[in-house]
Amino acid sequence: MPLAYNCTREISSQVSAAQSILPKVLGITLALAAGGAVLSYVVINIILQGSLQQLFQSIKKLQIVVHMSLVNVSMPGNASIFFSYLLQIVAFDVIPTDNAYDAVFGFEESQPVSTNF
Amino acid sequence: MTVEFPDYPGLALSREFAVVVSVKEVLHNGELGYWNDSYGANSKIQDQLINLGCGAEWKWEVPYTLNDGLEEHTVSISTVRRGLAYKFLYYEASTHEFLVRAGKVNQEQNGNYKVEFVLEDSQLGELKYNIFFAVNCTVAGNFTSKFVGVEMVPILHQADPPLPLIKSVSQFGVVLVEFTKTMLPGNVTNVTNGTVWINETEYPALGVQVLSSDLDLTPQEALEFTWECLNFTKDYMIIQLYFKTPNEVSITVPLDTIHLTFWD
Repeated sequence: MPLAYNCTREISSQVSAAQSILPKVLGITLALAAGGAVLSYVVINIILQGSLQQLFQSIKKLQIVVHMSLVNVSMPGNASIFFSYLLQIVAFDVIPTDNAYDAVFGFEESQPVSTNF
Repeated sequence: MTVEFPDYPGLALSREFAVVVSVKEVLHNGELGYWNDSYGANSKIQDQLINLGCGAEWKWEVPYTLNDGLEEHTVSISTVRRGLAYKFLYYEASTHEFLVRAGKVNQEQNGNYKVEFVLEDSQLGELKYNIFFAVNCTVAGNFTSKFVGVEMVPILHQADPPLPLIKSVSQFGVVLVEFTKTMLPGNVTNVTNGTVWINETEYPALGVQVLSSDLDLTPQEALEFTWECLNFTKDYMIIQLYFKTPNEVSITVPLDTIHLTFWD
């Protein structure tokens, strides 16, 4: 390593351990509820041969809200924690596919668009 | 035949002393030779306790073999650390041989030292040897030196060194630093508390700074923190920041920044 090598990065908003409990609990609860609702909605509509239009519309709205952290404004740390749980649902990241993508496509990792995200 | 001394500062802590030995072997046909990797088992200095008084000398035969047809080879040493032991230990080298000479030890230099030789092939070798000695200066003018151990580790080629990259900083102050190439895993205590001497100046092994992006809104005092290294592997390092007031960090855009300076 070169002598006196310097590296820098922006720090996202910080929270103490105590302050992180509430957003964590809320985020996990909402993520589980949303995941359960999506799954049950899909199953019921497949059985009843209904449309998934309403489900996709609601997820689209949720995606806009969660991706608000891409806007370059300061976001409190507890809000980031809360959104990080919802992001797994709205991004359909229930099944982790990152490793599979790397193996198949060989993408090079780039810097994030926003430190909040 | 050339002998190179790579710039390798900060191998040891403040009271340690390091020597780099770098050898390139050139054969008749222009090919480069290699180190014999059976060194560890056949070392002549294994478990050897060395008693040195003032002015005494201790020789160590360089324990490697060379390919047939070797045209010439040279071993030389260069000090890279000027610790306290630098004042009374003198090292010389010639073909096949190290020479350690003891000088006068002052009263204030009494104590325990760790001496590290790094023996490496500067070109094509895949291993290098870190040879450690513990030196205990018991009374003024005398000390003993004991061979502690030897380890063979992959060479980090300085021409294309590994670079650290801050991968992420979580909301809880966990900093993930990844290396572009594999590093030699280090002791986390040495990273947190260690210092290095460079040009007679002492630096922390790892400098960590958090700088405010807007001193009017967030004075630097509001970003007071402590830190420790939690893990240091060949691929990544994890640093935990403990902010005194985490709510004051990055309350404006642009965000506050963390700066890591790797002195070691």
